[in-house]
Amino acid sequence: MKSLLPLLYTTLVFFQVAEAQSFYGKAQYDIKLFEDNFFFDATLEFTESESRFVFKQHEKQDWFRQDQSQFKSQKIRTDSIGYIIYRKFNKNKMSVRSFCELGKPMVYEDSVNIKWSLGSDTKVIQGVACLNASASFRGRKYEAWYSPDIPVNVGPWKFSGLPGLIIQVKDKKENISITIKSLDISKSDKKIDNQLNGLGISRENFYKCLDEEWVKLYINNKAIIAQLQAEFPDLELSDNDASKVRIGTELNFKE
Amino acid sequence: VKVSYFFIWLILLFLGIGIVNSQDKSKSDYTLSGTVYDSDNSPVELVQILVQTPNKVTLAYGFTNQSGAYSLTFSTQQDTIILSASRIGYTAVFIKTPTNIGSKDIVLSISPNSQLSEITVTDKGPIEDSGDTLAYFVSKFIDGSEKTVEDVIAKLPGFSIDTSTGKIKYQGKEIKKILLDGDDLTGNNYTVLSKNLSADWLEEVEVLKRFSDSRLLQGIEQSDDVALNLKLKEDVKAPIFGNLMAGIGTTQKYTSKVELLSYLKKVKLFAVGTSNNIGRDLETYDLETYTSRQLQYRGFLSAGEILNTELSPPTLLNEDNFIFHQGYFASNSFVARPSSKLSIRSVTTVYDNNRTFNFLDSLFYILPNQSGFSLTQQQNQNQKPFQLFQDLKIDYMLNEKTDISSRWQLKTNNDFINSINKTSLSQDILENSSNESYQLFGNLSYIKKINNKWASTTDAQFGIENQKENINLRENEDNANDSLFQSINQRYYNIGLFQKVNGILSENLYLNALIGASSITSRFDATSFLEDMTNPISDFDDDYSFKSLFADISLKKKWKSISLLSGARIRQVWLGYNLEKSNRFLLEPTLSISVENKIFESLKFTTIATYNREYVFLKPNNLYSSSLINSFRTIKSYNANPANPLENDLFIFSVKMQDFQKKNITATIELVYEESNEILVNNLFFDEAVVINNQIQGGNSQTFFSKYSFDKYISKLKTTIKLSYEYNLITTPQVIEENFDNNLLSQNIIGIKSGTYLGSGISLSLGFEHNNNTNKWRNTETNFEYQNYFVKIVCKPFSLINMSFNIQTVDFGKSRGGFSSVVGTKLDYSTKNGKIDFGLEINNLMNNSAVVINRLDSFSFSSTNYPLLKRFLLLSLEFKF
Repeated sequence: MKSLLPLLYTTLVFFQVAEAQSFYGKAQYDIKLFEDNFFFDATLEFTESESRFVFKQHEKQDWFRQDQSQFKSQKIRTDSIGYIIYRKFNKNKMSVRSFCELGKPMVYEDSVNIKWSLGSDTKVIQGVACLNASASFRGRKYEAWYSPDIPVNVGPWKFSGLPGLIIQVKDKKENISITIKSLDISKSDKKIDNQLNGLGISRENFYKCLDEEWVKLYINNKAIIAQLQAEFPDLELSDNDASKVRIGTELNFKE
Repeated sequence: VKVSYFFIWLILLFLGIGIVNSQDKSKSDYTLSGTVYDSDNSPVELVQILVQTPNKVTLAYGFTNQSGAYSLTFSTQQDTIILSASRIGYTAVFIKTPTNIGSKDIVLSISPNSQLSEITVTDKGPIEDSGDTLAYFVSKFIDGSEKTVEDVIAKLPGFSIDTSTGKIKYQGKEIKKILLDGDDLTGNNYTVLSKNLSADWLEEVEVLKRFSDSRLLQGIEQSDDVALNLKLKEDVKAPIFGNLMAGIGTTQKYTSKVELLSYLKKVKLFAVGTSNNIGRDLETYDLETYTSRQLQYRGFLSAGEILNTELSPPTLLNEDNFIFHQGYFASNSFVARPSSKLSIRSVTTVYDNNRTFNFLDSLFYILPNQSGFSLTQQQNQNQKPFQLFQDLKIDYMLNEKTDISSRWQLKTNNDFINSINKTSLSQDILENSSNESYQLFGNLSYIKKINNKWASTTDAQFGIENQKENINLRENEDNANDSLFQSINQRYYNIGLFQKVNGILSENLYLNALIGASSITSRFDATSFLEDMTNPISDFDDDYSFKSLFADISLKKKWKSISLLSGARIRQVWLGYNLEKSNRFLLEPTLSISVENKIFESLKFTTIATYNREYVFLKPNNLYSSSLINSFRTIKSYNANPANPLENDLFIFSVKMQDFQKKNITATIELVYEESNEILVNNLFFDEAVVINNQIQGGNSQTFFSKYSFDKYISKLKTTIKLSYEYNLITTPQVIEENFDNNLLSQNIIGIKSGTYLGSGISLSLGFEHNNNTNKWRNTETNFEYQNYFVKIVCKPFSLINMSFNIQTVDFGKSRGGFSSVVGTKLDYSTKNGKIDFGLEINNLMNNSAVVINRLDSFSFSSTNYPLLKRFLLLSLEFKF
């Protein structure tokens, strides 16, 4: 991965030609959520008043990612616009564009208030000096590293609420891992696109849809295995002990 | 007396714990609110507000609302706080204010130079420090000429490598293991990996501090072990990958190496095969079976060699230049996980070699009363070692809280040495010797995590060893009557049962207890005879037995940055040597205090002070009283009491510092003082060319060892600098021709190494070592000093071509032989995709026939001519797949 320094240097030069109040930041992250077998490229755009986090865009609506050398694969339902989390800072809610059924993007409102506990450990990630913080969020414990030198209340995915840009977040078992790989902040009046095309749905109904889809997939897999096993009795076939119920990044919505 | 000792330790322990216990003072709650305006008096929203203590601990934070207002609540004991307000595009404001101020409005002004002055970003460091893990990004330190992982690690700040054994130390502490992308393929025999894995694959070297072997002991065991994790480049990892190298050269030289790695879902494998006659990469690695320090502490013993058959090339210059060998080494290591509960690890190595090693030695023996005599000797040696090693470890998870682990190791070793020895005082002596040995070790462990605070490990272990050494010396090949034979056979049977308990007694109070019983029986047979004599010159059998029952208990208390460890090993031993029987009760206390802290924000330091007493019993190979041949001109015997152990008192004080966030420095200070009683004393007699050494037990020695090292990476100059200084003072008794005195050796060693990227594809490595030794025995004082220089230039005249040129020189000073140098060069061409590499190498560029290496020890000065491998040109082709 490249150093952030040249990018920030460019940023400084940009700033010499315009007023200082409005800015536009763009950060690239690598993200892997619990349901993912791969890291995905993600982009976080932010200004003084809003942010938009986009990931998993792909031309194919039924994107199949495969790595034969590592024996892993993943089917991703998406489209060319991808998964989006949009926040307007003066509101307490975020809009989330996500996928449940194939070819049907959905948008739900989510309310997130993470109670971070600040630590005093320091670490340099991608050239940025960071401090640590930890929090429980929807059933998982996370450790985040943020930069107090970049004073924005912004972070990747649904994470925010720290005194500085969130540079890295991982859960304790590293099933979830998000790390910055580049950053550019420049003086600009550029506005962030706040359009999220998709079917409006409540958060509860969206997750209900995900659970139902999972059960369908689970039954379907079992049926395929049973059919194959009958055809090839000597083969040892398994679904890798897949759970009957869906286990996602967010385990509950109590916190 | 023993009981009172124990009470003193208990008192010390509780004193320590008492000192470090204290209670927090009560804290008060405060609220601070206000509004942030810009210079036009307009409220500014989304300004980051931080309330911190003067030493920058954040107490509260938030962002201003649409009206520019903020309100924060916090608790602290501090009288003053730092209130800061920052927003991108504005100059950040820091205000030191009384804690109870209640409200504070802030005015922010637009950054005058319109720069993002708030953002302080350091260059991406070559090293990332995240507490117990350090990550070195390899590309920042290498120049492209590194062949193996060991070559890379030697360049990283904080590391040192023992060139003769390959042992790797991080901040003065030897590492325990090397993991390959998180998997332990080789166990303690990590040199198989460090000396063979190609540097090309390597992306990152992680240092894992507080490494724990067992998943169940993590968080319970207070480990100080350090392990390395090698992370390979993502783009090279595949089900099967590796490289293939073959080369051919003038003077019938050849080299070949196959390296194979496999990253499969259930198996990870590293295999290497190498064969050459250019002096490189063929090593036995001294693979560790049950001779480990850990098992010695538990009471296990292994055989010691009587014959001195080691070929010893000079350590001052690269060994590759001297030993002429022809053979192969093959190794296969893998970890397989057939199911989620079962893990199998195997290490297999085969080593077969045919080495020739010649040297011409001029010796001057310094005898009492300023006298001495000189001797020249020439040795032409041929050694044919063969070694087979197998290590198999099977781990099985019985359930979430219980593991069972079994480990088996077998090592067989055969070595046949033929040499022709000539001295100025005698005719040619032909020497045929052999050393055949096998070691078998077995271990069964049952590890149980009782709860989150307690875990127990039960080990049943055994070790069997047999070593047979033969030597035949004859002055004249045609006259068999002069032929002298000696045969020594050593057998060891070790068995032990051990119970370890690790527990957390209360917050920050840890217990580590090991209770065990071990039993050793051993037999030492020696026979010497002249070929035509029916009666042997000497023939003896020594039976030795050693049984011990011990408890080793230590408590560790942590309080903030201070850790106090106090404990003792209590041993009852029963000893038998032939007809003599005895028993001893021993108390071996240990006390250690360490302080870990941070100064100047990012400089971490650890200070450790340790005291330890240990009794070490002599083994049968240090007890025999009849004379036995060591080599063609040395004879050794002992005058020692098996029931009388060596008594070692060790004091260690060390300071380790590191700052990899800002300054990229690491520094270590290590002071060691050891006092040993009841040691063996060299008692030397010279009978013309023959050295007779009758070692007598009963002396005492003092050793003071100090090492100061400082490593820094300067990112602006792309330079790593390693500075080190050693001062050692060693006092040991020595008897020569019945004259007794303490020998005082003082050593001063200064070392400087640097590696710099000069730009335009040119890298420069420089090394310098100054070594000064002074020996004082009776009225004789001898001083010996030398300088060692190393220069390596690597350049890329064209993008795909890498050239390297290196010089190694030792300077003994004008009066003692002057300079000895070896020069070599290499040119590499890689194809664009990096898959194929052509190499052209010229060894011993100056075609010198030999180098002269001088040595001075307490009773002799030697000047040795080591022949060099003649100049050859080697063409090689390497293919990565």
